[in-house]
Amino acid sequence: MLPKSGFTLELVNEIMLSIPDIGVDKFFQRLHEYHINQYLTLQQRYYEHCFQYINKNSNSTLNNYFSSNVQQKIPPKFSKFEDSEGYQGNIPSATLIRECFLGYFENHLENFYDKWMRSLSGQVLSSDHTFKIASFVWNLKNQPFGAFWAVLNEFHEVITMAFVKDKSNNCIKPMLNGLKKRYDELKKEYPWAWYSDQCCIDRKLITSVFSNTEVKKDLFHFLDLYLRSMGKEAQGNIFYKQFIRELRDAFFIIIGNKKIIPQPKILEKRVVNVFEKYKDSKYGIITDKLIKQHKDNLIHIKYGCISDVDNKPSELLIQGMYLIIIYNNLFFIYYLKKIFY
Amino acid sequence: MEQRNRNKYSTKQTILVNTESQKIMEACKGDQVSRNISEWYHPPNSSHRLLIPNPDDDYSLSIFFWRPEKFYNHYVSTIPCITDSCTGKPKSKGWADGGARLIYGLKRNVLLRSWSYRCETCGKTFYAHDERVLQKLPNHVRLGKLLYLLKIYIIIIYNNIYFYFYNI
Repeated sequence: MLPKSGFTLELVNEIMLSIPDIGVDKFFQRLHEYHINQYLTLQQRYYEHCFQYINKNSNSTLNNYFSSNVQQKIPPKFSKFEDSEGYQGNIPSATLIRECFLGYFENHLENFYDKWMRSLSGQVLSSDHTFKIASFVWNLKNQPFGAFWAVLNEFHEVITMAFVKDKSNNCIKPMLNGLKKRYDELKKEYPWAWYSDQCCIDRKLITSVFSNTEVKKDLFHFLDLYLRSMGKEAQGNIFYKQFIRELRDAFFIIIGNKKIIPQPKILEKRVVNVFEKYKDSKYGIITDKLIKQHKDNLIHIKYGCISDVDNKPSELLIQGMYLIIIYNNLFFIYYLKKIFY
Repeated sequence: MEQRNRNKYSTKQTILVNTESQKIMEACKGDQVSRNISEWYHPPNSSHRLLIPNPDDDYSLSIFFWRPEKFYNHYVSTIPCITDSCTGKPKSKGWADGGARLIYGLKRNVLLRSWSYRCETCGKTFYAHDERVLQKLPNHVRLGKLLYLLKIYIIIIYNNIYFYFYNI
């Protein structure tokens, strides 16, 4: 066999569909399953056939039995899967599958995805930095990028992304300008809301580009601040889960099956109520650190960073960025590509 | 030694590859173009109908033969040379040396055997599945790419897709 072999297009399609979701190693397992499955069906059919054949012949008389050659009658065993003189089963290694995926992506899909991404826009955007992806990228002995920045729209599509040096505004500014240019070219309305984890820092920058866009704080990050200030040791507390649940529910009002984050005054009252309830020392859940964090957070609440935009549908609210990242195929393809090259 | 063995197909498969290649070679001798040649060879897959069980059919892989100037003679009367500037007419050399290649499939692998050519003006030898050749072929020949060869080649089949799905 020559060293360089290929894949049938059927398999390539399966690779392109599955790997963004489940990754190379799991796909390798799945492919293994497909092959073994096919092997087992053929094997079963063969043995059923043998069984019938032997049954049929055993009906013959004793005389027949002794006169014929018993050895010849028994059909051979079905070979093992890997047997090169038999079934010739062979599965591409995980490395080869990865190579195929990346090669096919680069040759056939990368341009398409880039163009596709450039045609997307949205009414509600959210942005976040992630450090994990950037930590995979190495250039000799130093890391060229400090973070990875992505913007998603309300349908959880990545509309722009880039590696940036650090979290500063200078790195993001040119991309925001490019985004504005895109909105102009597509003749779309500018987004009316932008969810970000550092709302009060980003607000200045974002409103300098999209003047009417409201910059809000991502609720996922906001609640995460509470959790972090409580620390891991608080998780042993019996009231921990109850407290977290009530705190989370305090942020929402349900009106006709829709979760809505109320306006600042009501929201403040609800959150403060939860804290008043658990202030009693018998719960032992509220620490000085948490109160300090709570005071910081109240500033954001009063300022209206959390509340929904007035008179706008709130089901478009974008929740935790991290969840979205995991489910976004496009992002994952990009992520894989950068790691393995 | 073990590793080498693992990559080779069985002796029965070798005989199968050789006889089938021979058949196609004879059917396409000279300027002759035979229409009833299929690019695919599928094992008969009818052993379960025989009286005596025989697993040989289950063992053998399908083979895909690729010789565009014969199979698509109306559109590809002569194979183009791989170098862009070269205008010479490559001469056919015979089936690719070293037997068939292994192409990984979703449930069962297939084999690919392609024709080789030699261009005398630029002195290069190449296979019919070379990407540079494939890119010069007409679009409809390339439309239903069936096989994807790692980084280098893409192949191509339009009318036999149904067969392929059906038989494997």
